[in-house]
Amino acid sequence: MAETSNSNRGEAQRERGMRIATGALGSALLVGGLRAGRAGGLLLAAGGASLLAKGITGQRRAFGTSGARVRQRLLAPSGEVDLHRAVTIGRSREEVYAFLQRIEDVQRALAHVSELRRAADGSLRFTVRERQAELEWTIEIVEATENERIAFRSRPGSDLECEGSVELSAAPGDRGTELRLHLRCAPPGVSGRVGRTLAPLRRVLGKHQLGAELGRMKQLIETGEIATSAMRGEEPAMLAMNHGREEVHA
Amino acid sequence: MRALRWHGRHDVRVETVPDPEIVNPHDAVVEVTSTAICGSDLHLYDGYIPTMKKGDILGHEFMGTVVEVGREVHRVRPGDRVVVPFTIACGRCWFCRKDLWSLCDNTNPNATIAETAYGFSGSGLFGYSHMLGGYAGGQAELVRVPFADVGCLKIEDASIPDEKVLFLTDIFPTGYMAAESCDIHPGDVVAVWGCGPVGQMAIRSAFLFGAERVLAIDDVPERLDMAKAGGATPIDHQKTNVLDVLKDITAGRGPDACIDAVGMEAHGLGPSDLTQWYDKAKQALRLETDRPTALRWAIMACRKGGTISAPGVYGGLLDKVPFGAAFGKGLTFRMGQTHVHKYMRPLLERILAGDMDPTFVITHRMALEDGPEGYAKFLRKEDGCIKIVLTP
Repeated sequence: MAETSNSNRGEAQRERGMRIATGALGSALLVGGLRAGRAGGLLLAAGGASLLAKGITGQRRAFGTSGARVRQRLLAPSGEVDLHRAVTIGRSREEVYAFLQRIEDVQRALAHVSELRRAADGSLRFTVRERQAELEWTIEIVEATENERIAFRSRPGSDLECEGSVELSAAPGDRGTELRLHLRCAPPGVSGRVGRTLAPLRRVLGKHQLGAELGRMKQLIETGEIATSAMRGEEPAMLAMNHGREEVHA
Repeated sequence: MRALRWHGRHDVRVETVPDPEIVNPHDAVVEVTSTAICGSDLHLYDGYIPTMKKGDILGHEFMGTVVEVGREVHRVRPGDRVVVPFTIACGRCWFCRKDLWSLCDNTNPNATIAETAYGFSGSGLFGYSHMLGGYAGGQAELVRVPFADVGCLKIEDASIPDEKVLFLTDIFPTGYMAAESCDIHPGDVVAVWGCGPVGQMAIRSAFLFGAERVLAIDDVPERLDMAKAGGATPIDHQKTNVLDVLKDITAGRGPDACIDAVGMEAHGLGPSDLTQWYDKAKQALRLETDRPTALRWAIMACRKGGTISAPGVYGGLLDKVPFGAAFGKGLTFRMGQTHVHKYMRPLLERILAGDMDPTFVITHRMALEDGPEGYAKFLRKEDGCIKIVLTP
């Protein structure tokens, strides 16, 4: 192997460390998911398997231009996903847009995100942490039209490469607002035979996870809390908004 | 606290578990004073409902005293005596606002699982599998009740015994909604398959809606007797050909509406009914999850242009349903989990006015500690068992 400079060596070491962490996270999720069983456990196992594979192969794939990609190519060796997911929220577009500006509230909806912070330059730093493993990516808002559309993309060098948009429109009748999320991700690459096996699983995981998180967002906006079957636990911080519409009683 | 927990097929145990707490700001914690075993609990007991985990606390018909409330609860407070619907509703989503409370958008934390099976998820339920929320149920000393302002019906009159109002949690609204779904007009004849507690409530509710006649179909003598005491004409399906009898009683028309209060664990309708063996075989091979015997017969028996009302419970997939007959006769199907919140106040008024006393359906009263024995007795219909109330 050719000799590398100090900075390249540092980069290679970080890369290796990230692969180990990812692999460890992946195997933990895979084992945990298989033990848990049932639908939820299988989804967890699928996610774990994909991360484990990423840890093993360590390949990254540059995010390509959209034109050449066929939407939701199940067997794409790269594992790229192109997701559309929508939810109808019984509030005005103004209320939904205002919610999306409140990062602490958005984070509560995103179950898989350990930390979400806004940097001074307005970018959003996402962190996913599981035991010792950590993944990070930074999102830049490239367009924001009040009450209508937010477009974003990840900064180069992020662990997750993605771009997408959130669009708001009035739902018919008295139904409130239609929120449409479009997300294109190229998780650092899984190629070859392993990728072909995992890509459909990753796609399912992404769609379900996204749908569940939009559902949590709807719960937060409509009711001020996220449904849980927990019998005990610290009371979560109150949603920082006026609920507006009164609840209905029988 | 003590709680009745599921441990597998025909295995429920009363065990000590940590007390529930306030978790979300709209929660209350209720100390249970009375609770009941539901016919649908038997589907859990028999192991037919997926996504159960060992240790799950059962029970969705319960009432008691509020002991603690979250900081966003304003309509009930500690000390209030409340009846709690088995469906959990937020009171704010489109469905709640349309009086479709059991279809609430916001109370199933495991909505994704239900969506996989159903396309969309309804509300969370107490004590009825993780697909339907994973909420700990009310066959216990304490329960955490989400959205307490929406989900607690206050009983102001301390002189009313628990038994009189306990069934507002489920079976009275369920039977009532089943009868309402029949769209009963003067002169109508209603046939009810299944004379368990829900069927009994449906029979009496059908008369409240002005049915001319109610025909009650079952094969358990004490259940047919109870139906008769409620004004119905009992039909023992083991002893007669049900289709012939229904046609005869209605002079060739068929019943105007048919209520299927049997659901997914139907037993066969007699020695000549080969479908029961078909369904059991398919169930064993996991090619069918539900046994729709009563539904098939209801479809065949119903008059042209009539209504099939199904309070359920169905969970998964049916086979060999005569949909051609349903289409050819232009039938209307109405079904679903009960919108308890819609009915609980009007039905409480009915009880207070003396129009209805649901206590008639109780045959056994036991301590919560004897719950496992109660489940076995209820399943086997032993000792004239029709409805058991448990006291923690």
